[in-house]
Parts: sequence; C-alpha cells; structure tokens
Amino acid sequence: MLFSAIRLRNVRQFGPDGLAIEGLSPGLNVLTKPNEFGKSTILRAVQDALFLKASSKKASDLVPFGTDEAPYVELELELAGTPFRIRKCFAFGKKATLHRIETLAGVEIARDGEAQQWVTANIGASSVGEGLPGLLWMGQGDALTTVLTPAHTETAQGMLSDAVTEVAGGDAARDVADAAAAALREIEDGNRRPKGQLKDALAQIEQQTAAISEAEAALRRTAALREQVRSLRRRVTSLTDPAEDARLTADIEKARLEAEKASKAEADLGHTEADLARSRDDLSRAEKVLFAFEGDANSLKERVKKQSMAEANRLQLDEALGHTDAQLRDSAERAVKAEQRHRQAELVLRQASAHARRALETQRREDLQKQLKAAEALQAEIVALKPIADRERLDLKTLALLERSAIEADAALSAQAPILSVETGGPVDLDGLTLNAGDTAPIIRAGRVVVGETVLSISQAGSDQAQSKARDTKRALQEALVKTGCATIDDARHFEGETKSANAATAAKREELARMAPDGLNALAEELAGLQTDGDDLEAPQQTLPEAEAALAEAEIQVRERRAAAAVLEEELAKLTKQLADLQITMAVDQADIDRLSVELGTESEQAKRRTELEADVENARAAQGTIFLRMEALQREVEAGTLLKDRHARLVENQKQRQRDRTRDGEKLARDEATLNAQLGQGAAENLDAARGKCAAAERTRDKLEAKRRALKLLIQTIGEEQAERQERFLAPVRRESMPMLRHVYGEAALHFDSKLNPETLERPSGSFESKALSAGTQEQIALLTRLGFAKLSASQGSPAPLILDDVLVYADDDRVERIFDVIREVAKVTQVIVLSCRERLFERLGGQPIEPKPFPLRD
Amino acid sequence: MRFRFLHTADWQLGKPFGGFDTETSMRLQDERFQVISRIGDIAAEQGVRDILVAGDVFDQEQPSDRVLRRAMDRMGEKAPCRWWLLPGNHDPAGPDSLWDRLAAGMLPSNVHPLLTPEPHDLEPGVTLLSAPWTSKDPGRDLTEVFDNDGEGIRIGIAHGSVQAFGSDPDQTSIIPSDRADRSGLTYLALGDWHGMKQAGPRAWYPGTPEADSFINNTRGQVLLVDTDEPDAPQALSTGTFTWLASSLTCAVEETSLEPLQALFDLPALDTVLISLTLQGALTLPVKTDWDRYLAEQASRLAALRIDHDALDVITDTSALNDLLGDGVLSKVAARLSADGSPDAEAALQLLDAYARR
Repeated sequence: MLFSAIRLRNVRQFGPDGLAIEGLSPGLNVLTKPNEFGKSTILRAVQDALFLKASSKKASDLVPFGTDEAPYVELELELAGTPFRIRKCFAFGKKATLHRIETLAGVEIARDGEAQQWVTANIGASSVGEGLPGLLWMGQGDALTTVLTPAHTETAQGMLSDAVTEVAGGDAARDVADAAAAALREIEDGNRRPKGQLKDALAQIEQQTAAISEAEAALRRTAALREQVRSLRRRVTSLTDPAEDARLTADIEKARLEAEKASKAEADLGHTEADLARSRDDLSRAEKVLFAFEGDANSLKERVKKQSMAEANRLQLDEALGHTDAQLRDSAERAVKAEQRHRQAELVLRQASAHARRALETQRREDLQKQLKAAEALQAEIVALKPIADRERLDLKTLALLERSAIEADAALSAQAPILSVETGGPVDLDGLTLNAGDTAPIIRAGRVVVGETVLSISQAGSDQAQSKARDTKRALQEALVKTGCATIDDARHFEGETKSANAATAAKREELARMAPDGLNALAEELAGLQTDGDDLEAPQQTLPEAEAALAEAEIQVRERRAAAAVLEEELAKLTKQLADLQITMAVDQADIDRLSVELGTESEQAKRRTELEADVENARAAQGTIFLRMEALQREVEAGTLLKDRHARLVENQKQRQRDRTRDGEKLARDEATLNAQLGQGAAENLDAARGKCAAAERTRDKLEAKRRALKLLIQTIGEEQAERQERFLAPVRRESMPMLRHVYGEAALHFDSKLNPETLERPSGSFESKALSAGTQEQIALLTRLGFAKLSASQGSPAPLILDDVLVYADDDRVERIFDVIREVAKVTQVIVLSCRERLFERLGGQPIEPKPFPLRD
Repeated sequence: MRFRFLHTADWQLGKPFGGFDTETSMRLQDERFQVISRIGDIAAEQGVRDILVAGDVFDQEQPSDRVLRRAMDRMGEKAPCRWWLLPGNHDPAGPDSLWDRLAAGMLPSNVHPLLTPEPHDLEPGVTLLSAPWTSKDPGRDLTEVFDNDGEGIRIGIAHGSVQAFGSDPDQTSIIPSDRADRSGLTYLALGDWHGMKQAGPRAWYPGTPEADSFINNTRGQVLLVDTDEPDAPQALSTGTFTWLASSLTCAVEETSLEPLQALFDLPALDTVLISLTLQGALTLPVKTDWDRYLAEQASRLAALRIDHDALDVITDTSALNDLLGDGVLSKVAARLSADGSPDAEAALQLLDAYARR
C-alpha cells in the first residue's frame, strides 16, 4: 500500500482553499513546514478519511473554525499495484455526506457501509490505532512513549505469524507463574525469608527445641534432687536410730567415770611437784657448799705454786736488765763515730760539685761562639741575595702570547705567499736571491724577478692585511720586551728564573737563621757575654761528683742504723724494768691470799675430813630427790591417761550434741527437699518433654512439607521463566533481525530486548543494561522510532508494505544521531513508502527524499 | 456366688499427642479425662461398684500435679464406685513414685492404688489379687505371686504382655496365657494391649476406653465382667474419637473421586482421625483432583494423615498437552517430567493444579 495523493478542503485551517499533496513517491517524501501549518491536521484527516464514519460527530473538530462547512478528504492510494480513490465528506447526516471508493477514472467500487468494509478488508484496520496504520503512523508525541497499545501489540504479533502457536501459550504460562509466585509469597517474603506457615513452623521448632532442652534439664534436676533426697533420707534414718542413741549414751557414761579418776591423780601430782621442788633446793645447797670448799682448797694450791714460779722469773729479769744496759752503752759510741764520717763526706761532695759546674759553663761558651758565627754568615748571605730577590716579576704569560701571535701572523703571511719554482734553466733573481733549476722561494707581498734581461715585477693582491698584522704583532712583542729590559723572550725567561731562585734561597736561609737564633743575633751575643768571665782556679777534687754523692749516702745510712739500734735497746731496757716492777706487786698480793687461805682451811688432814662430810650431805640430798621424782613420773602418766579419757568424754558428749543438731538440720532439709521434689514432679517435666517432642516433630513435618513445596514452586517459576525467555527469543527473532542493524547503526554495539507485549524493555549497551523507562526522552523517542522502522521493514519484507508516516519526530535527538537515523529512514524508504512531516526545515532538508510541495485544492466551479 | 465389676486399663492420662496440632492434641488429652466420668456412669448404670484399672493409668512415671488431681477429681466424684488402680510399666510404684505423691493427700476415699501384691477383699468371698509394677523392668512374671490357694471368687489384676500375642519370647516379665488356670483365678483382668482381646482362658485385655492410635481401628470401650461368665465379658462403648487406619490401592485408570469419597462417608467427622495410605498409581490430573478433595476433607476431620510415598504419580505429558496446549507450559511440563526428581515431580503437580484453575 502506498499513498499517491492527499487532498483536503474545509478541513480546519485549510478552509475552502484546501490543500493538495500530489505525486507522492513510493519512497521517501518530506514535508517541512513551520508550526501551525497544519501537518498534524493532514495526518488526522487521512486517518479520519479511512476509519471514521462519514456521519461521525468525532469528525466535527475537522470543521474550519467559525464555519459549518463539511470537511472533505480525498485520498489516492495504491493497493497491490492497483490505484483507488477514497472520497469522504463529513456532512454530519446531511445529504452531502459521502464515503466512496472509486477507481481513478471515477468508477464507484463501494459506498458508505460497504466502503467502510472495503477499507477494513484492504487496509487491515477498522479504526484509528488499529492494524499497520495504527502501528506505523506516528503522530506528534506518539514517539515519546515506548509503550505499545494493545492494538499495536496485536498488529505486531500478527506480523510474527510463525510464532502464533507459541503466543497462544504465553498468557497461560504467565498465569501459572503468577499463581506459583503468589503461592511462594505465602511461604517466603520478598527477601526470601520464611513467611506464614513456614515461618510459624520454624518458630515452633525453635520454641519446642528450647522447651525440650528445658524439660530435659528439669528432668535432670529432678533426678539429681531425687538422689539427694534418697541419700538424705538414709542419713536421717541413721541419725534417728534408737539403738545407736543408746550405745552412744553408754559410751559417754563410761568415759565420764574414767575422767573423774584422772582428776584425782592430777591433785596428787600437784603435791608431789612441791616435794620435788624442796628436794631440789636441798641438793643445790649441799652442792654449793662442797663446791665452795673445793674452790678454796684448789685456790690455795695454785697460789703457792704460782709464788714459786714468780720468784724464778724475778731472778731472770734482773739478769736481762744488766745485759741490756751494757749493749746500750756500746751502741751510743758507734753512733757518734758514724756522725763524724757523715760530716766528712759532706765536705768532699761540696768540692766535687763546684768543679763540675765550672766545666759545664766552659762548654756552653764555646758552643755559643760557633753558633753566633754561623748565624752572622747566614745573615750576610741573605743580604747578598736581596737585590736579585727583590727584582720586579716579569709577565711571562703575556710575553708568550705575544710571541705566539707574531709567529702565527708570520705563518699566515708565508702561507699566502706564492712560491716561485725554477723548473729548468736559471739562474733567476728574486729580490736579490738567486734561484737555480729545482730551487723554490716564496714571494711575500711583492717581488722583483729578473730572468736574464727580463725583469718581472710580481705583486700579491690582498697580502697587505696579513703583512700589516705580522708587523703589528712583532712590534707589540718588541715593545713588551723593551719594558722588561730583555732583548729576547729567552732572556726574559732566564731573568725570571734567577729572581725565583734568589727568592727561594732567601726563604731557606731565613728559616735556618730563625732556627739558630730564635731570639735574634743580639740575644746570642748577650748570652755569650754573660759567660765570658772565668773564676778563680779551683783545687782538684778528692773524688768525682758521683763518688762523693755515693759516699755521703753510705754515711747517712750508717748514722740512721746506729741511732735505731740505740733506740731499740733503750726500749727493751724500759720494758724489762716495768716487768720486774709488776712481778714484784703480784707476788706480794699472792702471798697475802696464801696467808689468808692457810688460816681458813687449816691443815691438809683437817681439809680431808671436811671434804668427806660435805660429799655425804650432797649424796643424801640426791637420793631423796630421786625417790620423789619416781613418784611424780608415775602420777604424770596417770594424769596424761586421764586427759585422754576426759577428751574422749567431751568428744562423745559433743558427738551426741552434733548428732542431735544433724538430725534436726537433715530432717528439716529432707522435708524441704521432699517438698521441692514433689513440686518439681508436680510440674510434669516428662509430660512437657513428650509434648514438646511431639510438637517439634509435627512442626518439622510441616516445615519439610513447606520446604518441599517452596523448592517445587521455585523450580516451576524458574522453568517457566526460562521457557518464556526462550519463547520470547524465538518469537522476536524477526523483529530483532530487522531492528538490530538499525540499532547498531545508530548506537554502535547495542541490543534491544522486548517484553511479551513487544514493548522495548531494555537497551543493552557496552556501558550497561538500561530499562527503557529509565532512558532519556531523546533515546526513548529514538527507540520508539527505530521499533516502528523495524516493523515497517518487516512488513515490507513479508510482502505487505505499508506507508510509514512520521509527524514531528526526532525532537530531542542531537545532530549526529539525527544523521544516523536519517540513514535508517532512507534505508527503510527503499522498501516502503515513508512520509515525513516536520517543522524543522533546515534539519530535515538533510534527510533528502522527495520534497512535498502542497498546493491549494479549492472547489472547482 | 456371682460378682460383677468393670474392667478397664491403659488410660495413659496425660499422654501429650504432640504429633497433632495444638487444638486436636488438647481435645484428645481432654477426652481421656472425660471418659473416666463416662466409665463411672456406666458402673452406676450397670449396678456395679468396683472398677478395676489394670495398669498404665498414667502416661508418665511422674505426671504433673494437674494430671493427677484432674484424674482423682473425676474418680472421687463417682463414689460410691471404688476404683482399684494397678501401677503398670508406664507408671510403676516405687520409691518417690507418683503413687507416693497421690498418697500424700490427693487420694479420694474411693480410690485404691494396688501398690503391693497383698490381697484385698472386694466383698466377702471375693478376693482381688494384684501384680503391681514396682519398677520399669521387673525382670520376672509378676503374676507368680498368684500361685496360692484360696477360697471363693479370686480375681487377678495384672499388666503386661501375654506370650501368645507375639511379644518378645525372651522377655522375662511375660505373663503366661494360662495364668487363670495355673493360679485358680476366676478372672484375670489384664492391661497393656490397647485393643480388646482375650489373652487366654478367663483372661482379657479390655483395650483403652478412649482410642489413642491408628493400630486397632476400634473405638474405646470397657468390659463388664460377670464371674459367672468370665470368658464372655460384655464390651461397653466409652470412646468419643474414632481412629481409622485406611489403605487405598489406586488404579492408574481411575478418573473419579469415588474410592476416596467412600472413606469419608462417616458421621461426626470432627471426632474422626484417619491415617490414609495411598499406593498404586494415579495420573497427575487425577492426583491433583484427589489432593484437592483430601484437603477439603482434612478441614472436616479431627486429623488426617496421608502417606503417599508408595503412590506413583503418572506424569504423562501427552495427557497434559490437552490441558496445557503446545506452548510454554507444555514445554515446562516436559522438562519437569524428564527431570524426575521429587522436586520436579512436585512442581509438575503444582503446574497441573494451577493450569486447571
């Protein structure tokens, strides 16, 4: 199908003059007119001419403003190569109402209702929005939504006829998937967490597991308590045994009697201890008397013996005193002699010292004289070198530079000079220089050559400058040499060498002089003058100085030794004298004691008798004490045994009391524990445990059942999803085939996914996957347009080309995109008719195609 | 001389029935107390005074005070009936046992625990010989104590298995089935078996007065014993709940709900508990219908347990195609069918169910 002409009259702004678009091409047609021209009116008029009943009041808004003219639309179109004309006049029930299909020659084919049926049958739609026109004719703003209407979807799906059977199952699958999802939602929430019965079952399992643990713990506590009660009960039974009570009472009575017996022994022991104390005093006294007697007797014996030994000592001391006194006198004499020898040695030493000092002074004077002479010679040499050393230093470096410049200037002059070579013959005179065959000579600047009679004058152009430079440099060198006073530069170098040598020699000699006479020549001369006077002649010494010094030292040692020996003897004499005095005092005291004790003790026979008496007293007292001690030991044993018996009695009494206390305490505890046990038993932990286990098992069954259902639902949903995706892929393959190249042309690497309603769903690009609704308005519009272009191409490829009408599209696209989409539109226009209406004249001029030039379409007379 | 009494056993008061939902377990627990009153009423109606409870009066060795008190209250209300309670393996007498707790102030005057083998005169010429359990594992035949001679009517009361009932032959505490003959008993009142059975000459198990498992398929009852006819005690119904264990073998050709519907054609469904085992094979669509039907019935019953582990569900995808067409769902069904895992099988059943909506 394609349009070849569209004509309107009395349609909105086009009024009675009308508008005619003639000669539409089968390819791309472009109408670019400014806003308010009525482009949308043209599309609206075409749609109404095809699908609106001529009598429909919906067409009333086609009526030009302020008139009641009946809108008239005339379309010429080709269907399968056959041209038709459709004429429609919306006269709203008046006679002028017209709906007629005719040949271009005006032969009517159908009219009114039949005409409408004809349109439906041939165009494939019965109302606006239906069929291919609905899908492919994009009015203003239609492209801004990517969502297809149900009619669009139906049309698009109709084009994908191969997949019809698969389409048939789509809704059912969705319903099942929805039902499964709804069932799954009853089991788990959006975050896949258990919900509803499953959540309850899991909570129940947790709760009952806790209850089981609690009940088991309670049972364990009860069992432990029961064991405790049984143990306690056995103990209480034992504590309340009357036979045991009677046995304990008898034991206590027996112990009591034994304890009383022990108390009596304790009293006896007290008395015996007093007897023993008295006996001890008696014995002690007797022993002391005997001890004192023995002490005095021994003392007398020792003193007599000591007196005898003292007398012997006194005699020895007298003898030692005499001997020591004689030694002391001899020692004093030897000391006097030693002191005399010492004085003599001192005199000899003083004489030797004076002689030695005089020899040293003579030697020093001779040395100073030599030194002063050498220093004066050095001073004279320094003075002699001074005229040379003080000469002004020459600038040898400058002289060398000037010399080098002069040599270089001469060399340059020579290099420029032509060489006169005498090849054969000769002689030849060159400025007075005779050259024979084989000789050569340079001609510097100009030359006069005489060959025989012939005189040749040669001048060298351009050598003046070099010669002048040679001359200047030589002059500068001569002037510099004149300033130094030297004839040649070698003289100058020699002169400078002498100056440097004189300077070096002067420095060396000054250093030597400073070493010899650090304080100057005058200081040396003064020191020498100080040593000039010689003293009187000295007597020759008896000994050399070292010999005299050694002799004096020897004399000093002897004096010290003699004096020390005398002191030792004096000390010894004093000591012996004191010992003798002390001994004499001791002997006097001892003699007094001997006299006293002899009176007190009497004779030796009297002493023997007295000793025997005293020894008998001691023995008697000791025997009395032994008797008492034996008695006391026996009593102590009795008392110790009695203590054990009394302890046993006390322990038995305490045991009996403790038994009573235990009986009370354990009895009370038993009663408490029994009450607790009964209370615990009364709580029915075993019942609770059984109940919890049963509930837990039931909850686990419910959980397992629901988990199985959950898995089954997920599997079902997943499988349906996978199958739907695969079906979708197959179903959309033709659309994808047509739209993918376009999409790639516009966006590069990209893929478009459609939902089940064939709406563009997501745009895949290297940068990511974007939901259609989330794309920019421009991209949404472009995708909607590309989708229509795809369907248009698909329709053409299926042998049913239908015009694609685009009213005011690409509102938001940038220039680059527009160009690419234009490429696609041009490509689609090769297989189907495309009519583009736009207000953007300059932009759409670039689209190319056949420009539409509307003309008036007034009513002919 | 003739003596009549009621014989019951295995009340197992306090049994938690934890495997059921809370409401059902509460109802089942509660009904075991209510049946005590009904037994007392029957005794009154029948003009008998003595009710022999042959062991396992309580479910636990140490029930809660609440269970003990409720039981004692129910029995105490039925004086002058006398309740003779024998400790069984669930509630043996022993140190610190529940019987001590009862003795410590909970026992009504018409309740008599039989804690020792000491004989009791029920009335002149009628002697009750008891064989109480004093531990969980007595290790011997407790009825041996009955081997003594005596005059008049001698009624034994004991608890435990009888060899003829297929118990472990090595078990030492088994009661000989001819105990009544051996011990010259007029009647041996036994407990332990939860269904009514004759254990031997003049020896009977009455079963529980309120059923508690799917094993026996009977409602609870007590035995009215007349010593003149000790081999023919009269069973009197006492139970409220009916426990049914049903098994249904399905044929793959089955297309209707009829075999199922027959199972649920019962009065007072809210007092019925059914354990249904399905085996054989069903096609997926039929199984889906059955599941829906069973879900409806479950809401009517006190409890419904279904075991279909032994049921094959035939997932013929060609049959599914009629329902699912040849679109996405048929491919999904084919994939799930080919998968064969339990999850895939369940997913297939869900698919079938949802597709039928």
